[in-house]
Amino acid sequence: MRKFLIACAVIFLAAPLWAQREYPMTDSLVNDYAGMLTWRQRDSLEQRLRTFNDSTSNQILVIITPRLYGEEIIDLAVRIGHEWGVGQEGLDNGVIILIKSKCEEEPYGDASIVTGKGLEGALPDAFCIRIIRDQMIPHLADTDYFSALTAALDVIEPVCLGEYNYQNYQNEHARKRTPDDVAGNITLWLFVALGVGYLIFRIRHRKHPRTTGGDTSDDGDSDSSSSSYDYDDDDDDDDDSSSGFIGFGGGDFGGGGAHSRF
Amino acid sequence: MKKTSIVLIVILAAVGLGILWGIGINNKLVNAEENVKEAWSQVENNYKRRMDLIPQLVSTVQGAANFEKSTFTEVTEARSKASSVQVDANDLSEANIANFQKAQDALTSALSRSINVVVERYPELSATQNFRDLQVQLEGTENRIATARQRFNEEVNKYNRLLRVFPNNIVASIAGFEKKGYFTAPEGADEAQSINFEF
Repeated sequence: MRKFLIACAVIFLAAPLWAQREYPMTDSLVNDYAGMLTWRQRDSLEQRLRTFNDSTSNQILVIITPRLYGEEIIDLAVRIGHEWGVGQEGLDNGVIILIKSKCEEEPYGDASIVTGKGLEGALPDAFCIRIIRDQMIPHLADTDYFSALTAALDVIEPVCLGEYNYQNYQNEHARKRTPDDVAGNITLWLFVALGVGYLIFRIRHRKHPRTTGGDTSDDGDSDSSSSSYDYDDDDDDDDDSSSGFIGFGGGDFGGGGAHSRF
Repeated sequence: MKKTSIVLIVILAAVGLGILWGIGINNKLVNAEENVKEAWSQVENNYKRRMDLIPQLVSTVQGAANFEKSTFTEVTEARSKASSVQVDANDLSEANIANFQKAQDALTSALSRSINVVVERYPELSATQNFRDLQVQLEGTENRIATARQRFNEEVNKYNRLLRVFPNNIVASIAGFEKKGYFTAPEGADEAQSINFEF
């Protein structure tokens, strides 16, 4: 029994380590690891996506990589989206356009669009495959990655806008969470009244050196919240704020999207 | 008189502290368990979604000329078997998860085989937009299943770890928390994953 559990733990913890390649978070929305874009093209795309992010909170991340190292392209895109937290938390309005360019070791191209949970309605898989086939692949076949991306964005951006707007986002964030902490504190104070308050208070305080108040909106904490398991973590709201100047919002991905080879 | 009341207070305080401490751990476990259940409901949703797609697939292909019933016998059998294996979110034990996974994985491979047969046997049909859309939906569902399973495993991992740590294990055994099962990589995972959804 115990062995089985340990074996499981080893498989699930170790497997990603050797099977998957790390893609450390950047502070850029256009990540061209294959060198398919010129500087000017990269900058113009970056500018476009940042503006789109700033005005709508929809985050579209572009990644071009020459190799997948055996990973399925959708799995990789979902993994990056999850790890980086593309899109806003709670809205899950991230989109990832991941293109695998041809290279000697892996001589095929693969283009994918992966949608955050919040955009699966606006961008269903069948729509994604259409965008890939109709807008992107004709350009990708000519190795014109910039035109492929521009053509895809011309469709994706307005679609995202139909789903919801910045107003919703602001309303959503105006609501503060009222977690179980409050209830927990009431029980605490009841016991305080019984005369053990002092002790409890001290223990509580040692556990939470700084009491968790309302979340301050500046992203000062650079906690790597993804895999590290926090013993004291009561809620699963991880603040995935990046140190970059955009900041990915902590959106999540459920596996929606499509891909097609070229 | 004074002494006894002091002793009483100390005992009360100790008991109170013990209870508080137990409640704290209990609540943590409850939270972790809720996360597991939530992740499980995602897994179930996505498998359900696949179940619902199969009749669509069958009826689409049935319209093809010279349709052979045998094309989908394996799938329908695997489907009914898989739908008979339901797991209660309150009892996500290792055995239950393993059973569930076995039934669903059988359906996965049956499905991929029959899709390949359809593409081979009915080339005109598989070129239609209708069938292509179905393929996209099926592939999307498989992706969602994979993601949901991975998230479920992550939550179970957190929960099981929390459960086994001392002194949580004492509270857990008193409160009746039990270890939960994982999804394992299916046998011949590479085969199962290489479903040819390419068009």
